[in-house]
Order: sequence, then C-alpha cells, then structure tokens
Amino acid sequence: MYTAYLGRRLVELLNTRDHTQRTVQDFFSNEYFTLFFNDERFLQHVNNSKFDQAYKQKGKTPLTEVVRTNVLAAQHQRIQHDTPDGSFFLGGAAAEATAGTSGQVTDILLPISPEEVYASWIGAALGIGVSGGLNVLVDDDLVLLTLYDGWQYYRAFMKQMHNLKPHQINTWNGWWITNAFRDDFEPTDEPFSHQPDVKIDKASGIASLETQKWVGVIFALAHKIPRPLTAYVYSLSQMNTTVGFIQIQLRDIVEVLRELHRQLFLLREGLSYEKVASLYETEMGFQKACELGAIGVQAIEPESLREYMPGARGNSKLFKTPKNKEDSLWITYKIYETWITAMLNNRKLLELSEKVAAILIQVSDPTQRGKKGGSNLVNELTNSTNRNQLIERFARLIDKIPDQHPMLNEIASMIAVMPLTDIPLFIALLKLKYAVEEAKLITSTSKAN
Amino acid sequence: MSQELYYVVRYTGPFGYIKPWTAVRDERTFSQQFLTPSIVEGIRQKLGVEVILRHRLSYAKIDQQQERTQSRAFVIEAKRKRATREQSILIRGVMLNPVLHLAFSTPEDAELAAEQHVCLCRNEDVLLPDGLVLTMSADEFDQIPGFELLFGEGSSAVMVGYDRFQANQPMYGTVRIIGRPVGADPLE
Repeated sequence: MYTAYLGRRLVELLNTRDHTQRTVQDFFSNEYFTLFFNDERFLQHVNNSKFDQAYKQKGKTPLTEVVRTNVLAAQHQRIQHDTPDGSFFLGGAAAEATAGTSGQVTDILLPISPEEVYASWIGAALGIGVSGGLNVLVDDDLVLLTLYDGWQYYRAFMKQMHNLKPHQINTWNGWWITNAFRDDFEPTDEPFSHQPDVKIDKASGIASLETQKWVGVIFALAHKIPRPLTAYVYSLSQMNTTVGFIQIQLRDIVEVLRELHRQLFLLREGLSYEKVASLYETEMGFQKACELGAIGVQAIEPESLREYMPGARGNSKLFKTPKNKEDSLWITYKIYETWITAMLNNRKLLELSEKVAAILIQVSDPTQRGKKGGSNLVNELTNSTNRNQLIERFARLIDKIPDQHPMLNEIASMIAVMPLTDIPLFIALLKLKYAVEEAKLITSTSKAN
Repeated sequence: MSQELYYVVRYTGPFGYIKPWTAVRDERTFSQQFLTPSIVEGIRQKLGVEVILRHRLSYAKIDQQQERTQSRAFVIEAKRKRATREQSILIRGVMLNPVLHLAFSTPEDAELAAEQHVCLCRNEDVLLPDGLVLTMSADEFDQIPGFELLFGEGSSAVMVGYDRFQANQPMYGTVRIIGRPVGADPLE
C-alpha cells in the first residue's frame, strides 16, 4: 500500500544522504526495531502484530530484552513466510475472504514481497497525526527526512518522561514537524527548548502527547514548502479510513499567513510567525476540509466567522466594537479580514469597504443614536441576504449622503459583477469594517470629552 | 504554441465514485478525484476509441453515504446447515453531480463517444454525454475547471495504483487542479 511506497522512499533517501547501501530489511532490523520496539514502551502501535500481542501480555510476561528479541524473530518469521495481511502489512487487507471488508480488495494478484511489508511499517511511522484522528503522509524529501530525524528525539523524550504513554509516533510527528519547521529551530540545541504539549490524566497520572491542530501542521508545511503538495490522508485502526490524495495549496495558504503576520505585527510588536500561526483557529475539521477537494484558502476559514455572514439561518450576528487597543477582538478581526480579502482575491474591495464603512458611520452616527433614523438604514443594509437587496439598500442611502453618489455607484457596479458565493463574504467584511470604524469614533470622542 | 486540437465530450450524471487503490479494509472511504491510467484505458476500451488524450473531472460536493457490504466468501455454518456472508458497514464519500470532460484526438472518435454512456468505477453510476462534440485547443481545454492526473513520474508525482492493463506495473501521476473544481455549480 502507500505506506510501503513511502517506507521504501525513506530508506532510499537515507542511503543517498548517508552514502550507505542499507536494504529495507537491514534498516527494519537494525535501526527501526531498535528505536521503536526494543524498549518496554513501544513508539508505534501496529494492531494485532506480534509486538501488539506481546505488549498486551506484558502483565504476565514482562517485556524483557529476551522477550523482545523473540518477538522480533517471530515477526520476521511471519513476514518472510506468511501471506501478508493487515495484521502485519500496514494498510493491507484483512486476512480472510470471509471478512466483511473483503469486497474492497482488488482481484489483481499483486505479489507483495517481504521487503514491501517491512517498508509498510516504516512508512506508517512517517504519518503525521492531526486533530480529527486522521494522519497525513507527505511524499517530499525534506518532510520525510525531518520526520526521520525526529524519531530519536521521541525515544529520548520518552526516556526522560517516565509516565509518558507509548504508541504515539504519529502524534509525535505532528508536533515534531511544527517544531522542526520553526525559524528558530536549531537541531544542535537541546531539542526540547520547546516542550511538546503533554496532557496528564489526573486519576492515573499517565501523560500523553497532545494532537496538533491540523491547520498548525499545514502552516508549518507551508512555511518551508511553498508549492502544492499532494498528501495522502488516512487512518489505520481496526478498520481504516481512506480520504485519499488531497492537494494542499501551500503557496496560497502561506500568503494568507504572511499577510496576517504583517498586519498583526503592526498591532502587537514582537509577535512571531509561529505565534500568529498558533492563534489561528479554523471553522472546519480536517475531514470536512478534505471534502472541499483541496486544502486551500477556503479550507482555512476562521472559526465562527460564519455566524456573522448572512445565511439561511436568519439574521447574522453583529460584530462587537472592540473596547480598547488591547482588546483581543482586534486579532480576531484581523484574522477575519485577511482571510476574507484572500477569498475575495481583491484588495480594491478591501479599500472600498473601508471607505463605505466610514460613510455608514456618518449616516448612522452612533454618538447620537437613533436621532436621524440613519442607523436603521445601516442595519437593514448589513442584514441583506442577496445581491438585489444589497444594491437596493445601498440606493436608499443616496438621500442621506447625496455627495457620495460616485462611490455608491462604484460599489453597486462591483456588487453587480461579484460571484454569488462572494456576497456573504463581502457583507461580513463590511460589517467588520463598520465595527472597526465605530471603535475609532468612540475612542476619538471619548478623548475629546 | 501547439496547434493540436482536442475533440471534447462532456459527460454528466447524478453520482460518481472512484475507489482509491489503498482502500482495502475501510469503514470510511472518500472518492478519488481523478482518473488513473488504468481507468482511462478501461473507458477507452468500453467506448471503442483509438485514444483518450486528456480528462477533467469536477463535482458539486462529496456526500457521505452509509451502506452495508458483504464479504466476498461464504462462511459455512455446518450446524445450522447454511452458508452466510459476513456483513460490514461502509461510509462512502460519493461525488454528487460529477462532470467529466474527455478529450479525443479525432472527430470520429468523439462522435462515437458522444453516443455512449460511461461510468467511473461503479457501473451503477452512469454518466451520460451531452451529445455535442466541442472542438477546442489544448489551451482552451486547460481552462476547464476540475481535477486531472497528468500521467508519468516526476518530482511531484504520487503513486496511484497498479495498472491491470500493463502487467500490474505501478502507476504514477501529478494531480493538477484548475479553477474551482468542487461546488462551482451549486446544488439547487
């Protein structure tokens, strides 16, 4: 399966890098086994494998060096002589034709060599675990070698932390890749200058690694590899999940993040790129995002922004006006604004919406609320649900601000040609800018008083 | 610039599903979004045409549909004197309203193809042709939104399965995405 393909790729890459001639089997026995399974706590869980069985028996038969070596021998025996199945060929089919999933297996008789089986273990240890229980395999030299380099630190970290639970290689990979792709990462440093996120269960005292947000892993990849990547998304367990090959449009995503960093840096000095990435929360889970067909700008829709967009569920929420300069709403609003601008792919629209928001403030004049009836017009406008309504409600503003008719004309022409799916985004942007203008006005009047 | 002309037929249908080659023990599987060399060869043989030069696939949305599957082999229950099949649940992410463009090299092939149906990987998901043959340049074909796998190995290529028509050799290709391939035509 695909895990086997990537396992073989890693061994080839290492041979090239280290000028060695290791076969996949050499690598499995000498390096991979030693690191992953030659310890009381294993780094990887392979459901139903010999290692798994031994691990479950460890209460009765402690996992001593001798036991582990025997298990390895038994596993070698199976790999060399038995027909591969899902219990030791990772990503492979169930053994029996009577299994409920046997209908998914091709009728092409593929000769699966022991080499391929060994490679499938190594490949599965390269999966990057993300929130939502899915793993991502990335066929890229830099990513594969970086993950490989991280394995030994996982073992070291486990040695250092006695209550860390085993088997979390994929979760580790998620943390490692976000860590190793940081700008300030120095492999020669003490590797745990940034500690992995660990959660400790109060009752049992057992610690476990926390899964990374999917968008965090995507941001890390985007930072180092600004080209489209075709990733393989899956999960292996009792039964598997195959999302399949999903393109990650890293270049588009990194542009959004860099722009956001630029904007937020003006707001809060000293904010690092990584900090900005960690502040970003998405609306969609990873599986939902994969349903979009590709992970691009649309997939990283910020959390809760949808509540402010006109939709089928009646009136949308209004943006709160930030209280002061330190208000964390500013950061949320910058995230919203940057994403909407990227989605609309139109800087001019951003400038225009700022100008329109300034006019709307004049019309509604929140400092003398309700006296001129202007705020009603503005409320109506921002509650528009479709193109016609929006243009019509802009037209009603002409009486209030006759001198601004060229701008109203310009905005109406832009709305007229805007794709249908962009209209809710534009309305949300307008509301956002309105809240920002309101905040400016309130701070300036409070100063004047 | 190439002067090569494509003769293009557009096929549409309510559902489409392409099983990824790695889905062998699944409880949840999404549809693959592009055709592999062996799928294209299968469609070519079905249509009885010389060659299919290019493809482009788009759809409205992925819909997760739950179904019951049965095992391939029977289990003999000697005591009860009966044979049964193991059952299992599978959630399949199916493409809704798939649109497939196929590019042929001659008008004759395209005319022939425009009178037949095709299916992706489930034969119940029939896609019907528009009946029109569109003549377009390679550049124009490149504007059609959708997914396409450009066959062959390369730095960004991925392995997409084994080719049953080529002695089960591994197949490789690079996924290419043009425009908005998903949800460009909203569902009513």
